Amino acid sequence: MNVDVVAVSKQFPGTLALDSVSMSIRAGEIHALIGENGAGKSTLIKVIGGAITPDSGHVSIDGVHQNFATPRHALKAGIHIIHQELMMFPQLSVAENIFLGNEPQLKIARRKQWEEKALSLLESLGHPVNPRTLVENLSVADQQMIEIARALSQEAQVLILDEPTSVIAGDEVEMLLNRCRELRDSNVAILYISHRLEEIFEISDKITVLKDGKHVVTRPTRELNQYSLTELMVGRPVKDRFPPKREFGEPDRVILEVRNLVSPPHVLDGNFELKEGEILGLGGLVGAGRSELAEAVFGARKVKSGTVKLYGNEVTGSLPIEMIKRGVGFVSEDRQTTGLLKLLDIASNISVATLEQFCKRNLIDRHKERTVAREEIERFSIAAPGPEAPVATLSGGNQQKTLLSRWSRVAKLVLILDEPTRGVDVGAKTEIYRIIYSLANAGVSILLISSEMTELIAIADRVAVMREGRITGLLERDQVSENSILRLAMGTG
Amino acid sequence: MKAVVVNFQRLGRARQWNISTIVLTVMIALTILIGTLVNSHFASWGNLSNILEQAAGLGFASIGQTLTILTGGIDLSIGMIISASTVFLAATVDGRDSLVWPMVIATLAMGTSIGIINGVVISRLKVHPLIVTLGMAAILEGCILLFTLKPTGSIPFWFEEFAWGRLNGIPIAALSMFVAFIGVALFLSRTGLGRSLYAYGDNIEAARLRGIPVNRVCVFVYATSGFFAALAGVYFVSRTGIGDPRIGVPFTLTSITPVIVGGTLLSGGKGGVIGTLFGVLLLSLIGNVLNHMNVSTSIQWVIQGLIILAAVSFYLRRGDK
Repeated sequence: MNVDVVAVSKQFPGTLALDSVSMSIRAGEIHALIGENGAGKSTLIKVIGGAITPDSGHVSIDGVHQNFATPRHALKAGIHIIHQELMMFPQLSVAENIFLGNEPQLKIARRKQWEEKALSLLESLGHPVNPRTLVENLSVADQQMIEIARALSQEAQVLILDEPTSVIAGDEVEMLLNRCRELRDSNVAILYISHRLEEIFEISDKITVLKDGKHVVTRPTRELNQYSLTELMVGRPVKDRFPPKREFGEPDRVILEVRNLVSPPHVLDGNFELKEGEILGLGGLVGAGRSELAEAVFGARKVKSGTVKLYGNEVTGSLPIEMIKRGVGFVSEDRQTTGLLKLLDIASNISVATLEQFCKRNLIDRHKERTVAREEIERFSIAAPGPEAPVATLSGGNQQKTLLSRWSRVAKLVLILDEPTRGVDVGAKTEIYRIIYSLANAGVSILLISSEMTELIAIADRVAVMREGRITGLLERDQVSENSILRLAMGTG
Repeated sequence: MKAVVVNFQRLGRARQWNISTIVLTVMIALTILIGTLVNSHFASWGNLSNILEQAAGLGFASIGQTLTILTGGIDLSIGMIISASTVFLAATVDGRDSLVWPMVIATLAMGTSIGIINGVVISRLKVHPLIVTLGMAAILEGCILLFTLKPTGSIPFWFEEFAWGRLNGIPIAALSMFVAFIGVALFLSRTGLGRSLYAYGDNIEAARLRGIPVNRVCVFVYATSGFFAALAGVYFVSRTGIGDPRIGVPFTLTSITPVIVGGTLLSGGKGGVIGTLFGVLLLSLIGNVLNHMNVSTSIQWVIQGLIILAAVSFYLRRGDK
């Protein structure tokens, strides 16, 4: 079966996610789709899979014009997708997660049969899991394998895999790639999305590059190499992507010290030292417990044991409000649900964490709020009509800068940044890196959590790596590399 | 194969029979014990079968409510569907033998249709179930009160068998309730559609992405809720012999209590009707004990409130968020 995407556009509030994108997936071919975070890959496959309706353009199957109204229609046509955000039912069993779907019927579903089939599927992938276990008790890697098993259990004509290997390693990746090759040889059309370029070159026949919602190029894999591919993804020479590494001596003053911090179930052993004015990267796979560790340090999560010291004073188990008063800021990972006050304007979003500075006799001084906001819009180059613009109308990058402004006003000592460049465009990323540098140069210690390896390598002074709730290693400046981070993150040596 | 720890709690099989059913069994035994201390005839079959017979109305209503809560929603129109059903049935039959069965079917169809409207509005317009069913309740209440302000209609004497009759000493109403509970429990655990209700409540977006027809599931759930509310209405007509425009009012809230006490998560995805059945039995027994102790209805409300709070804090403590 052949799938053609024809001039598809999709507008989301604040961003044009897809801008007249066209591409084709052919039967018996593995087609790789690559691009940076926020390039529109996930949106594109959701359009193909019927989960998102495009504003314009269409999808056609074997030359027949088809816009699938719901995922069900796409599934019926034989299009199966492994989504990047694991779409699981945590409170249901492994077997149910694999087989539940499509047309649920009144027919008796034999639990035994499901369980046996599930186990043999998972065994054939080299990853046996008890099919009766509830998914909420499984690791992210197990969950990923279940998603893969589910997609492979179906008679797919078109198989789309969105970052299937971001949380698995070694033999399991090999096993998956082999299965993809087998499927290709039996004439299935495969669209493969991955950040790992080696994988792309190993498996794909063709590569399509997306950038900022636009189609950049589609070429046979053999005409490309890793270097030219990266340039196509970023749209300019790689070396200009990050600001030059800053000069930074070895400071000795420890500002924040975390020892044996335990906050079940996600944080089992948190250990790191944050020195004055340094940028400490925190790497690891999705689900390793990095955000949870940061939250536990900030007091947003219950601490069971261990210590957090700020300037040598124990502050373990403080409330976030107390950490804020001591000069610790925290830009959380998900700005939509835990960051922004979505219905309020820029000024209110900036002032909220330091409201007492904006008060006169316990009443908020709106005039001062607006004045300060105007300065901050200038300082962080936030593209907005003014301090009273609702944050919901801003693009992802400008929303993020608004949050950086809010928390940098708090963070006299420490600023924790959890995935600060997620879902922002390339231009805004560069500006955010500059903001991070200028804060660090001014003496603020920064804990930078990022899943983008290149970002950690380019921006952080040192990198701590976390795996399954524990800090598994600390890489000094000259030891930091993609390989060294991955090894610690996956526990493979 | 990897060594696997088999843990009762962790397995999908334990979904409907979990720790809450054990706790509830203990509570039920305790209540019976206390009842016996209060009145030595409490544990007699005569008294217990009366309690079961009276529990049927609440039982039917809370079956539907369990399904809506299981999918992360709620149905606040249950009480008014009950009232509407009793008025509709009693007024249309009005003592005529030949009309009983057609009108019972029409009543059940009416309840189901109201539920279908709820489900369609919820799934198509993406309005929160709380708001939709609250609106529906107001509409129904208005319509009922336009039609009659006081109890109305009548049924042939023989139809009271449903609520009062015995089969070998077992109340027919209680028997029907048990059959309904077991049927729905099997439906939930054994059929694909039943399990997709858990999927819907657990993660609706994931359900949609893997092709579960979420809109249809939603309509099905509220239709079922409407059906069981109407069945409760039929039971009350059989029990009281008339159509009472106010009879359903308390059930809007009391239909929720056994669901919560039975361990179904208000956020959806976890629980089931077995827990609800135990909840219905416990609450009915407690009500009866309090009646024996001559505790006023007002105080009984207070106690029911305390039970809800105790149940919720117990489940939260156990980490069932």
